[in-house]
Amino acid sequence: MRKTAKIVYTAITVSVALILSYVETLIPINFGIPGIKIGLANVVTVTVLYLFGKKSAVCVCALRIILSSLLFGTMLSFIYSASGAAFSLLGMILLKKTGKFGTVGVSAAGGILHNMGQLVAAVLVTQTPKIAYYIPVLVISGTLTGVFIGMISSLLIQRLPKSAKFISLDKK
Amino acid sequence: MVKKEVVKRDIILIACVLIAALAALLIINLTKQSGTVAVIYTNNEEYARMPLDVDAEIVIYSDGKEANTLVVQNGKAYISSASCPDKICVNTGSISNENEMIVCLPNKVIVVIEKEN
Repeated sequence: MRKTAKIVYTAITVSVALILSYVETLIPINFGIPGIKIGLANVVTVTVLYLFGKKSAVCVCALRIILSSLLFGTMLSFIYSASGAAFSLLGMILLKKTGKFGTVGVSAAGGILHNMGQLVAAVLVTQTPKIAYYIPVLVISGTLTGVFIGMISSLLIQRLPKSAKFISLDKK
Repeated sequence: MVKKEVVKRDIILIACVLIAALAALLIINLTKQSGTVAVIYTNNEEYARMPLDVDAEIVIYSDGKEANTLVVQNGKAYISSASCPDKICVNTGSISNENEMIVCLPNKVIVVIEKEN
């Protein structure tokens, strides 16, 4: 029963994340800076991290990236997403573990690290360290989108049923 | 209450990061100098050097395919067309200051403004 519940909840959250990445492409927001996205799908990552734990978050995030790259992306877009997500998840898990920061702070750090991860991937792919000039812009945009994502997630975390916690992959 | 402490730490963290980034941005903007040449890189190799004082247009080939078109006009460089779907490089607009760049990640094309003496 519990195993089935895990599979179902993982499938549902991955689907929601996939839909959110699609919905985002429909929102015509132009930040005036090329390459900046809100990253709505990360609402799912942060929410799952808090409700279900880190293993679930890594699992849901990895599945989302693999599926969205297969469906809509290219090999390159997979590299950028995966690198961003790896940095962001690692940072958020560590920062959450300290217990000193709230959802918004953790999510902001996640946003910044996501952009840094993508920058690292871009430097490696293009072999152009000069791209590092984008760091300040990426840090600012990462913070703002991270705060936004964190606010939505903290509302969701408060409102979603606590009973959902029983499917956490972290607890045996 | 603990919650208040957490919110306070969040705000401090976010404020520190934002201030640091804004300061860096300010320094970059204050020290910027206009460049003299637009250097095009494809696949990590120098592809062409376009002096900014000569109006010109160049079609950039990457991996043997027509990738981007770079236009130099009135001392500024911009990408006028791109084969990639997102058109981020086209939307970047024109650049003319040293170290400013246009990046097209799908085509691995990078245009950087440099200064030649």
